[in-house]
Amino acid sequence: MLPDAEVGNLHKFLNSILNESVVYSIWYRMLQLGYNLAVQSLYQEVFMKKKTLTVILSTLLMVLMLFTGCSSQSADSSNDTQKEEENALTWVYVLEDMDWGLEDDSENGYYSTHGCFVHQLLRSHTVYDEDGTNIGLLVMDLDTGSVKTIDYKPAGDFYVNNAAIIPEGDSAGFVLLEAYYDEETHYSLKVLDGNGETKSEFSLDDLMSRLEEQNDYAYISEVIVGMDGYIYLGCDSAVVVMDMEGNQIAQIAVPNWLNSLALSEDGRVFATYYEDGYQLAFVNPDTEAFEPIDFGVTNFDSNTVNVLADGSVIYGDSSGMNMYRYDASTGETEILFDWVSLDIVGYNVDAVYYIDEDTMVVETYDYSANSYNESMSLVTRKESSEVSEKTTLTLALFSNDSYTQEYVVAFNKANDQYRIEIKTYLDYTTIDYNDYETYYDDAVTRMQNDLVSGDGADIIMTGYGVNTNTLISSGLLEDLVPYLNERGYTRDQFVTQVYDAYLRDGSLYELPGQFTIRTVYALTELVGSEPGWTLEEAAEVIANLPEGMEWFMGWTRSSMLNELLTYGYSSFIHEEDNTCSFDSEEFKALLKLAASFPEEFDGSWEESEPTRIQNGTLAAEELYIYDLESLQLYRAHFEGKEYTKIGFPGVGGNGAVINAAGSAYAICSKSEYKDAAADFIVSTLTEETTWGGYGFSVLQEELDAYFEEETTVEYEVDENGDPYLDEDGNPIVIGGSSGIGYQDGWEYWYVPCTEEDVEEFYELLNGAVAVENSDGNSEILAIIEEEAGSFFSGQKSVDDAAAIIQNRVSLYLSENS
Amino acid sequence: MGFIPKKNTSVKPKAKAGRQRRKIKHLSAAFLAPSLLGVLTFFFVPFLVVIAYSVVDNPVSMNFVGLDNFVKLVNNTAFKQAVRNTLRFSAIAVPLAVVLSLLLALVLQWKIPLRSQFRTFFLSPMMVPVASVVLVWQVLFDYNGAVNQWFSFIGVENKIDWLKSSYGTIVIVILFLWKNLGYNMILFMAALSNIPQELVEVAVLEKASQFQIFWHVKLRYMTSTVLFVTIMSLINSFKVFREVYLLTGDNPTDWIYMLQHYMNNMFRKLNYQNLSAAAILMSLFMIVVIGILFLIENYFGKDVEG
Amino acid sequence: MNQKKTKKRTLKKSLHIVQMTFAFIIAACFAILFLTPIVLTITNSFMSSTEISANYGVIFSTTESGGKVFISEQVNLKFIPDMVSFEQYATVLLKSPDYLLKFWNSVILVVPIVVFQIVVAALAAYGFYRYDGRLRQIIFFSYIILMLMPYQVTLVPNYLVSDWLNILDTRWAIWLPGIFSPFSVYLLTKYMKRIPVGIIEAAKIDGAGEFQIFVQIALPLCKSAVCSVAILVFIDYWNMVEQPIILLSDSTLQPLSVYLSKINSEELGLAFAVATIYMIPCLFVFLYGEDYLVEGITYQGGIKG
Repeated sequence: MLPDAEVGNLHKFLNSILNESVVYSIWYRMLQLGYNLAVQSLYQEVFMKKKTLTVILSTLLMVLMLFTGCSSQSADSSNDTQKEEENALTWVYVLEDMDWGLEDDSENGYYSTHGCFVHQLLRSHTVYDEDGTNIGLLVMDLDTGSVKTIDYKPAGDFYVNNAAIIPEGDSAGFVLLEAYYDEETHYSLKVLDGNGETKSEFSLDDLMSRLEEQNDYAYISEVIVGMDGYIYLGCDSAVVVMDMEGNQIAQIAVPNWLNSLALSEDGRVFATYYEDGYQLAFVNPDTEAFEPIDFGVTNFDSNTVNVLADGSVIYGDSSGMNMYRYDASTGETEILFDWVSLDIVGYNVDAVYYIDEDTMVVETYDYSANSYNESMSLVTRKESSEVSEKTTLTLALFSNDSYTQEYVVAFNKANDQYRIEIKTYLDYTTIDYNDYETYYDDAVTRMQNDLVSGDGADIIMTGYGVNTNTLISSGLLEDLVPYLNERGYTRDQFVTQVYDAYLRDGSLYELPGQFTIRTVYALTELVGSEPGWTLEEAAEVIANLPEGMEWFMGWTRSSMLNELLTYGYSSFIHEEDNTCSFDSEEFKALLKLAASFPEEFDGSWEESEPTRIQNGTLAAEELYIYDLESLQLYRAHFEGKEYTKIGFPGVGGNGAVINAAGSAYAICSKSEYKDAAADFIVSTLTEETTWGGYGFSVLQEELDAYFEEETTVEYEVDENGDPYLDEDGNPIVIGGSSGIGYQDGWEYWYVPCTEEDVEEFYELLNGAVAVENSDGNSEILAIIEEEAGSFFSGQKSVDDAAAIIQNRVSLYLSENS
Repeated sequence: MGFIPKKNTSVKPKAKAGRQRRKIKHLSAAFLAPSLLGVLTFFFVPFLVVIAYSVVDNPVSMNFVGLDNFVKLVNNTAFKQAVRNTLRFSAIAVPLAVVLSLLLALVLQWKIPLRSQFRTFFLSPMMVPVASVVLVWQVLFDYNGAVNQWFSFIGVENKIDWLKSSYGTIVIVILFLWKNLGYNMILFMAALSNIPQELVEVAVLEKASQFQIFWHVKLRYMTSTVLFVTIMSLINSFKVFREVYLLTGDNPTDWIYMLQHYMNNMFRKLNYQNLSAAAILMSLFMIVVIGILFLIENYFGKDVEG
Repeated sequence: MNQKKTKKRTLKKSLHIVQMTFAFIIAACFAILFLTPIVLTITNSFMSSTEISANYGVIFSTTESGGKVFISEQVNLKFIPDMVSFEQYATVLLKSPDYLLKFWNSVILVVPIVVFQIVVAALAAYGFYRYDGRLRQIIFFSYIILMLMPYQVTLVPNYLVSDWLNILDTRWAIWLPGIFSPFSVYLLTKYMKRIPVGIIEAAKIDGAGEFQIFVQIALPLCKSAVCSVAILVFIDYWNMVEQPIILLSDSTLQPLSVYLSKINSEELGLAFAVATIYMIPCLFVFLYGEDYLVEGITYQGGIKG
């Protein structure tokens, strides 16, 4: 007897041989090839003299095979592109509203969608009132579009966790997974008939206690009824199959964790689970095993997967870019559409339900709008001639970014002349994480080549993966200043410190909508009271820390080196003559200092930073300031201690560094639509800037407004305008009751921001001189890291290591002079 | 021009031969056409683009800057270092490749056992994929690699950082020789077997020593092959960069930094103007070297092949 | 007198034996050096991945940012696996279709290049052979110069040309420049120049057309050269790395050689097996064509044509 896992593997293995049509065809061709070679050598034996002839014949044969092979090959490029072009010409997908005939009553309750059960879509509407919970089960027949509502009231404290339709005929009934919480969660299943009358009901406590025994932790999140009439329950570690009376039929263990259970177009239950990436498989209760559906993708978004009757798969990628269709008969995968083209932010897509060739239902959830309701829309396929075309701009970015999607969707909705398309160079659907580095390099090369050859992009998202210096020096980026001036934005409108920090020789090539500040606070007793310091000073202080005191939390060799050098390495580089001094005693001292730290962090994370600062075992902390409240929090960390805003060593100024929050954009100088591109960049400035509380606006006016809003305290008032008072007799602040707790119980409750916070912000901002350039000098840091490693491991002396660093970096520098 | 035919009849065959020649010229042009068309499109036009790039400030704005890029280039320390290293490498590797392969060819010339097997063995490095070569070389020459380990067995305690010190050239030269000796050797074996046996016999009768025979007769007869091997080795010495690059990465130490490192990095940094200027300087150098080799061959070629 | 002669002969004979032994030892030493990497690759492909990483992991382990990590351990160079395992081959051949697909890509990319490059080059070489004017000499010389350009130089313009021709990201972007590469024109021309003009003239007098002469006389005469050039071209393109990376951004089209050159610590175990499999076609081409190769090379020589 083989263990289950082995059987599963064997299954998978056999499947991969038999069903993988590509593999099959390769084997077939190889066999053919082998056969040909055999025939050929036989021929040779017989007609030794006619060697040439056989060579020519067999070559011809092989060429023939190749070309016939090519034409039937799925991956054949010319065919592919042709097909894509045809597709683009014939079909487009458009978004349409979906009519549920409902009123928006998010005040009283909420809607949730439970899934698509063979052309019937089930949602529930939960309303709490004085009588308790009321549920409305909404069933939409996807063929006719009619909606049926069934009212149902759960007993006692139960709430409906999930629900499913019994997919026999015309809504034969429902199965509800109910739960209530009493120390632990108790689940029960309820079977309803088509009118909402309870037919049977049974508790799942036994099942839960059994699952807990196996995994010491269990929950049930999914319920599905298959065409076979069984109930499938999705627990975190297993799929449990029951009949309508609650008798267990099968239990199938999930390798790591289960993501979702759903019904295929023909009513079979399939699961998505994690095992070396996401896997898709039918659930077979007879064999108690998963039957994998291999479509060559392991990072799909499990909520968007639909399995069609013929085994084809409709799915979205996990980074929220596109929807794809894998055709089971041909083994080909095509992109159906990208979300941005539908004016949808891909990250907001919750689920997709396939109806037919022309229609899908998409469930979106607007995370930035903080609403509790999902919205449902139809995606329909139309001939492209039916849709009016706008001029398309391309926005090239390195890796997909939800902020950019938001901006683009907003721009596209508002603009009737232009629309923006996003082109991503680092494709997460095909990425090989084992080989990330070269994959990354290839993507950079491709992007740069595209830009130079002129069919790259109109707008470029700079930052990660895009080396702005390279693009500027090759003349690929347009100076934004005239475009901004034309649109009424001059230097005065911006937060001048940020504007100036991004200015290079009077030109502005990239501009983020928001920025953040990073700096370091440290105890005054150690670093003195003057902000800003050099690397030598820092090395001195860190080397002579009092016993039992750590500089930063979780300090290791490499983090120490990184932390100090990320901004400070420039003090070893002399820009005026492009030389460097990594063989200096100062740098060696730094290496030796780093070597004195442990290779792996051996302390504990149990105590939080503030606790350790308070009890004198932590000297400093790195700050990441993205809103006004964060300043308050860090102040609280150092409460009662004297501290200095010392900053990063070797940066200059007060040591604080300005970062772009999210994305910065640039215009490609080869673009034909620079004005439209500039319009887009301006739109990112004025867009709601602080959503998610992330970053400060680069526009002074908006920043002022934000500070104004933050420092204005509003109190909860009764109808007479008098404030409500809390237990201690203090007025209650609107929205002022948020706090943050740390792992060791240290907590902080935010208070309304004051002028003091604003002043502290400006103190940091005014002294900040540097802009983080994420890419420009990673090569120097990589060299240092590599060579320092040989010193850390004791293989080379510090002199040798420093000499090699000096050698390599100076060559690198002279190359760029 | 000053030739005046004595008889009218003698003109006819000449004119006929001329016509014939023209006909062959046109016909053979037809044979040449596909290749010429392709080379023009995929090699010559790109080369013109390279020339265009070399005289502009950057590939986007394309402002003409004359020879500025060349001036910048010859003043660039990294470029100079790259040229020095490349020249040094070629100066060591190419003659060594010629001499060693000739030696191997001579050895195999004797009727030693397993002769044809040896020939196959020597050729076999040609078929090893670049990646495995690099893998093996890394295992051998890494700081913690096998070679240092062997050295410590025989008592050499100081580890050598092969790829990051001045020994780097040696490693690459070994790699280069390993890859190319076999092919060169066969070229020489062929040339050796083509030497007319009478020549050698005459030399033997003249009581010439083995060395004299080799030096004055065989080598002299093989001049054109020696030059051909030289030029092939030169070509291949440029191809060895792929392995070097995979071994050392973008930014190696300055002992191993080759012209192709410079070009590759310029390529990555979109600095096409410097890349193109470097390429043109390199081509000019190549034209000179090959020109010289042509002349040498012409000089020696005359008296052996007639 | 007679005795002396025999003595001399035996002396000569023993000298000869010493010489032979010496030569044999030299040849054997070189052979061992030359074979080591290949043998290493093949034998190590039968190690399990755990054994591989135990032996060589030291060198190839990398830090998060991609830099190499130095651990004070030695590599363990081993020719014979502790336990023969087919794990790597099973993974490569059966478990992941990726490798086979990429192998197949290699074949599709390389074979047409080899075949058509030879056809185009043979025609051109014949063209150069039949007529040798001043212009032809200049053209031929520029072929040599173009042939010597390193890829970094030609890659950008090649990219632009492919873009203009709208073949970027299709196999044509690799095929076309490959087919028209001047390399084999150079080698074949050099070979053809050895064909005595008399043979051609004789055929001509017999009434053969130029194309007929080419197919029936010139080509058969240099079949070994054609084979040897084909082998060289095959090996060259079988190992190409840079062109596919730049010209084929669609990774489903890229050949195995690109993939091989990127193998890193995680897949170190597979590296040897993939490399071995990748060597097999070369091995066949080689074993099958070595005689031609040797014979073909035999008549090349001299730089000019």
